[in-house]
Amino acid sequence: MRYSEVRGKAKYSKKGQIGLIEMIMVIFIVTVLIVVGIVFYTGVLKQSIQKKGGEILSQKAEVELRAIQGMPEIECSKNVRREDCIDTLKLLIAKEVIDGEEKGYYATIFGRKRVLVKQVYPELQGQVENQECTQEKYNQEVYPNNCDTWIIYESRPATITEVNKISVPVSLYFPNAAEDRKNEYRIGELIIESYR
Amino acid sequence: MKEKRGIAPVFQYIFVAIAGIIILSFFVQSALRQSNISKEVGNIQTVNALEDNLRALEVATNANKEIQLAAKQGITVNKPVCGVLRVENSPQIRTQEAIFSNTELKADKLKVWTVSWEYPYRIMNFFFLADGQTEYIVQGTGRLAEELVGIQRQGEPCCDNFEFIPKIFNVKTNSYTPQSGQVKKYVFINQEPTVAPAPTAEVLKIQTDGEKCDEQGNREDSECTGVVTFYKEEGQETTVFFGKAMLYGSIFAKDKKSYDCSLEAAFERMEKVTKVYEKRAEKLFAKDMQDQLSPNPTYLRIKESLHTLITTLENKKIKVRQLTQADLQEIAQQKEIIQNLNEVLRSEGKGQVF
Repeated sequence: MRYSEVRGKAKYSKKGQIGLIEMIMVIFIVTVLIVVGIVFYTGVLKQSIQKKGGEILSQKAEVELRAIQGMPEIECSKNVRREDCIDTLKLLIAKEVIDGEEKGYYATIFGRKRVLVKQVYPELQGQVENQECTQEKYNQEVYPNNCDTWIIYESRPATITEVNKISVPVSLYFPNAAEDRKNEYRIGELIIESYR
Repeated sequence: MKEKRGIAPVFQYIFVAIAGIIILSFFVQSALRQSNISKEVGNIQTVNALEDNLRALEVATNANKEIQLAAKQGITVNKPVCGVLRVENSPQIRTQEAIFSNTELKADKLKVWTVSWEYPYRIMNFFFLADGQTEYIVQGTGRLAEELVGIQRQGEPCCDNFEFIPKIFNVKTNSYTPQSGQVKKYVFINQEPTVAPAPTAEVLKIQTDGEKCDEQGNREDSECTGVVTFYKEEGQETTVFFGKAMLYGSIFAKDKKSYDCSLEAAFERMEKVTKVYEKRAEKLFAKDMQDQLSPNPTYLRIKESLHTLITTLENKKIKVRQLTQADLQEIAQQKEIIQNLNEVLRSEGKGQVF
C-alpha cells in the first residue's frame, strides 16, 4: 500500500469519529435543555397546583363556616329561640360530644381544623380574655362573665405547613344567664382554623 | 475502501432515527400522562365542588338546585360501600350526609333537593339527587299523591310552606302516559302496584300510617310514618320510614340497599344529636336545682326519655337493614313522649330542651 493511501484511510476514519462525537454532543445538549425545561415546567406546575389547593381550602372553609353555623348540635332550636343564634349551653356540650366521645364521627365532617366560638361583645378583658368556658366556669355564679371562648372541635396534624383562618359574626344565646337568671344575647364570632 | 466509506453515514442516520424515536416517544408519553392528570384533577375538582354544593345547601330547610358539571360525568353514590361519593375515577370522598339517589348517575346537570329532617327536633338535612334520566310517576287517589306533585285542592284552606317534589325532577301524575326510552319509577301511594318491575321500570309502594303524611291541618312532618316496599324482578323488600323527608328519600333511592345506606347515616346522626339534647336537659336540670329548692322534675324525665331513645337507636342501628313496623312504633312512641314532655316545659313557663 502506498503512503498516500494509508494517510487517506486514516483521515477518513478520524472524520467519521469526529462526526460521531459531534452527533453525540448535539443530542446530549438537546437532552439537557429538554430536561431543564421539564424541571422548570414541573416547578411552575407544582406551584400552580399548591396555589389551587390553597384556594380550594379557602372556598371549602367558607362553605363549612355556614354549614357549621347551622348544625343542630350548636344552633338554637326552634322552640328555644326562633332567631338564628348559637346556643351557648350546646357549645359547652359540644366539647364533651363533638370533641370528646364522638370525635371519630365528627372528624369525617370537620377534618383537620380548630372550630371555636369567641365572644366579642360585650368585651371581657383582663384575666377573663381568651379564657375557655368549661363546666366548672358554667357552674360559677358569675358565668358567663368569667370566660369568652368555647372550643367546639380541635384536630391538628403532626406538622402544620399552612393555617387558613376564617370567621363570621354570630348571635350568642345564654339560657338562664347568671346575673338575673333571664335569657341573654351577646355577640360572638365563629372561627374556623383549617390546617394543612 | 469505498464500501467502508459508505458505512459511516448510514450508521449516523440510523443513530439519529433511533434517538429521535426515543425523544418523540418520551414527549408523547408525557403528553398522554398530562392529559390523564388533567382529567383526574378535573374529576377531583368536580367531586369537591359537589360536596361543597351539598354542604352549602345544608343550611336550608327546603331548597333545590341544578348543579352544572363541566361535562357529562358519571357520579357514584353509596357504592361500593355506604357513605362514599365519587366522580368518574376520582378518589372516593367519605361523607356523613344522607344522600338518596341512584347509585350511578350520569349527567352534565345534576338535580339536587334538600329537606330538613326533624324527628322531633332538627337532626340533619336529607339530599335527593337525580340525573334527569328517570321519570317519576306518582299513582294514588289520596291527597298525599296529589300533594307530592304540587297539586293543592281547590277551595280548601291550605297550609303554610306547602311542600312538594320540585318541578326540576320529572314528576308526573296518574294521568300521564310514559314516554318510551326513559327509565320510569312508579310510586304507588297507599295502593297496590299495577305495574310489574322491569329493567326500565322501577316500582315502589308507600303505605302511610293513616292520613298523617298529607299537609292538611299543618301537620308536623315528624308525624308522617309508614312502610315502604321496593319491588324488584326477583322479589320485594320492605322497610320503614319516619318523617316526611324519609318518605321522599324512598322515592329517590335506587333500591332498599341504597335506602338503607342513608337510613344508617340518619340513625347515626340522630343518636349524636339526641346525646346533645340529653346533656342539655341534664344541665338545665342542674341549673334549675342551683336556683330553686324544688327543681322541675320534667327536665329529669325528659333526660331519661332521651337516654332511652339513644339506647333504642343504638340497638336499631345494628339491625337497620331489617327494620319492621314494630321498630317504627317503638321509636315513634318514644318520640311522642319526648315531644310531650317538652311541651309540658313550655306550659310551665320553663325553658324547653329543644
